[in-house]
Amino acid sequence: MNGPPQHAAHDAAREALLFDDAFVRRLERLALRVRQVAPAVGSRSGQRRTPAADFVDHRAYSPGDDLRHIDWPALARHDTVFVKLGRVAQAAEVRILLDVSPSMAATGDKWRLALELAAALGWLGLSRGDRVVVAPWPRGGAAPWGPASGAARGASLLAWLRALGPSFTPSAPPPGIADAVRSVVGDAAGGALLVISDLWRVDDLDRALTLAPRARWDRVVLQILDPREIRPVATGAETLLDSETGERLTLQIDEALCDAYIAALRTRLDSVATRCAAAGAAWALLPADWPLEQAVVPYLQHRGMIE
Amino acid sequence: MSLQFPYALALLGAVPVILWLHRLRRRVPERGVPSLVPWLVLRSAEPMRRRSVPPSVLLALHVLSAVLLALAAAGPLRRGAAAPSGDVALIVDTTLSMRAGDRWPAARAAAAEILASAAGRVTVIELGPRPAVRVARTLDRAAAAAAVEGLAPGAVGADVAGAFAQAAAVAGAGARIDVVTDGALAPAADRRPAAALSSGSTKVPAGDMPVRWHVVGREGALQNVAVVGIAAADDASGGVRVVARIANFGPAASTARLQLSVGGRVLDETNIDLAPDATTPAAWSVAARGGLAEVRAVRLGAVGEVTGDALPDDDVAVVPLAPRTWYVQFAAHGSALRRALEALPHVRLAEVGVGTLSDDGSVDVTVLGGASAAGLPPGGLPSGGALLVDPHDGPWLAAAADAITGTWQSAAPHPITAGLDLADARIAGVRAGGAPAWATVLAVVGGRPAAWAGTIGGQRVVVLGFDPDGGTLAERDAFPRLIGRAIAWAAPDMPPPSLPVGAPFALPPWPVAIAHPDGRRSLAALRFNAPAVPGVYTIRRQRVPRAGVVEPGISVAVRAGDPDESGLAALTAAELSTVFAPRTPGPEGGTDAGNSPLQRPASPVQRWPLVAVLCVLALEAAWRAAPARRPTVRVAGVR
Repeated sequence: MNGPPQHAAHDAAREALLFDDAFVRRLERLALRVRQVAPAVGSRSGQRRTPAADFVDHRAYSPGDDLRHIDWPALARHDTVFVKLGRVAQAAEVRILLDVSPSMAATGDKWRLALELAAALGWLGLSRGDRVVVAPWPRGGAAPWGPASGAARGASLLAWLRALGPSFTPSAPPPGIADAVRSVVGDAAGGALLVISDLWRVDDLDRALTLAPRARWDRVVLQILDPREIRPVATGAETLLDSETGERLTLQIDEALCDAYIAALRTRLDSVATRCAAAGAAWALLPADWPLEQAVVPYLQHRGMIE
Repeated sequence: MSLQFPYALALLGAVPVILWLHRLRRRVPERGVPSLVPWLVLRSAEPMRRRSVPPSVLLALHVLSAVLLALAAAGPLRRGAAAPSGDVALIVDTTLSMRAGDRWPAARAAAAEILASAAGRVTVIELGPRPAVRVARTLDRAAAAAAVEGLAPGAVGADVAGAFAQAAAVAGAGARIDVVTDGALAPAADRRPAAALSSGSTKVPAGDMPVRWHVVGREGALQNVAVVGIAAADDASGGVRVVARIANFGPAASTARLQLSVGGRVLDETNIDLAPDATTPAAWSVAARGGLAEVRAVRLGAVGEVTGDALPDDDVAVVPLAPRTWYVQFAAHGSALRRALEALPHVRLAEVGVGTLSDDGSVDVTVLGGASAAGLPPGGLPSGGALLVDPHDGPWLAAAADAITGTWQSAAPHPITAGLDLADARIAGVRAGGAPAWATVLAVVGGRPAAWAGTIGGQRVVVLGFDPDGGTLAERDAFPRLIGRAIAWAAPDMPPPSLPVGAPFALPPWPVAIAHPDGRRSLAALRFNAPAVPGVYTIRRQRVPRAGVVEPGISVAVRAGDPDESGLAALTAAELSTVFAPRTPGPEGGTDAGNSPLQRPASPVQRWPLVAVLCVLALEAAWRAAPARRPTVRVAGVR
């Protein structure tokens, strides 16, 4: 059996994907931390300088500059004419790559958190005028959402996420994430790439991150795991059925094996974190039972992924 | 512990099947997980040792149930102190010796006491030459008592082993066997004096059934005079010689009045002295050729008065005096043969043609001569015997190219030719080059077989391979006797003229009607079992060769006297338990009538009910131990 449909799990998560107005307003006060901005005009404070009233810098007057932006107090002090410079409001490219493989839908919590996270991050971008694209991976039959910008497109994003279902394409070997990154990045000059996945069958993460170069993209890898995936419980002899490949494995799951599992998982997670760090990407482990607003968003703020 | 049906242990073959089914059954619950990736690394690090059969309480209970079921079916027995079922198999001796003195009344009383004290079901078996179950496993004491009342002693010979086998088969292994007897039990196939039966050579198939011997009639040494044998034969004077054997059983010499009667008329009466435990012959010549000769021997007292003895039934014996008559059909040529046949006494001759031979059970011997014999295949002869004279060819001889003439030379000794003066008689027309493989050559001429006899297809056939008219053999006085002997030899076996009561005898190979001494009539064929009443049994064939001919029938005189039964020599209970010990003899013991403790200290205790209950309990526990069906957990963390 390959990738059993987890309709009950993701249906429940889908129904819960309703943001109340208060949460939306709080989201709108947040912003994705994106260093690279697009040439498009948005509401994001760009790196470019332009004569402006609210300035962050000075430069010598050049003929043609707007006289309204001359800093007269500085002239009085320095006997030199300076012009005030402010940031240009620009938009960022936000690319969200959402893992919709059966392993993500195997538990309701993972699927729910993934959708909520994709929705929240997408909403953040939309409310800032960023160009947001949310792409499922593996693609299956669902086309990416976007590019779109503006808070008015938030409802469309939520609707698209509600309709999204896990991809049940049986795959062995697993589809590479690199191709998905290449596809979602497209020809964008740079921006923010957010990968939401459990990373169980991702063997080409390093190559994928290189497809969104550090110089132009802010890469964030958000790994979502179910609490039982993080810390299994000793249940005795069991046959475990892989939700994606249908492979079965019979084990005597005792305390010793659980301890070994945790140690192996820790090693794996450390490896992922190290590789992400080496690639200049941020990585965060999000337990699926964390509530989005009370735990996930503050954690991402703490990690500096959201500001 | 022993097993009644050890082959039932083959049910243990279900245990491997149970193990295999448990192995097939998926006992390990299945749970869906998002991915096996984090677990795969652990599989190589700590591989689960997959047991071939998952141990579980349920598996143990299933195996235990199968083992107990096989053990219960095998019928385990444990030797116990008492018969578990309370059933009793009562074997009552009905041999002739039981009629002596007060043995039979004592036996009936002992039997009644046994029936009254029996706790369970009773089986009544009559012990005689052919034991018979009269009542099988009944709680109806009245029926059992009536069965005992219906018994009548008088048979000769006791098949004790057969009676025990019937007791084991009918009453069951948990029953006790009680044998009521006078102890005068000589095995039917082993008529030796009682003193020689101490070796315990007679084993009875009673298995572990306890046996109690109730010996009645131990009133001391008994004196008994009996006619233990009688026969009649033609004598040279044309009359009949009657010979009888008179036995005196007992430690003291006796005098007996011996009386010979024919047709109810006393021909001779004399006193004879009989030595102790000895047999004395007596003989008479009787002119009569018909009727019955009766010999009676009555014991006399010290002053010559008739005192009788312990068993009056065996004081008289009869024997028919009338000769046996052979019915012969004759289809042959030649005057010599016809003259010889017509001269034979006791032969009813019917001359017929080959096409009108009778095969309906009305003929004893068929005589065919010449070409008429050659035309019949070996299986085409009428039933009965056959005398073939001068068959020219056919399956009766290997014909030579020519016929020779020579003198008679007797070959192997044979009842047909023994004592006959036929030497040097000229025999002409000997055609045979050889005799068939089934035959014995009686005489040769010129090195070639001239006469032979044998049995083929159950028929006795005598072949004279020459023409009696062609030589000088027919001129000899011995020729008619030769023909007579040939007919007598070829004729089917007839029952002896005298035999003891209870002895079965063979019948001619055709249906007959038997008239019993008590007036009853019965039909029989091939064999008559157990003439139970002393007297004369008359056997008549259903068909006679010629209408209007009254067949006299064959008389068989059944006498009560028998050396073993009339001897009244009784074994003690201890001797009986030794002589008729089961295969695993127990300790000796036992007393006579009125006090009959168990001779075997242990009686088997059935254990299969207990084992069967344990099996049921194991199955019940297995049923309760079986887990209820639950859906496989597909989603980790979702219940």
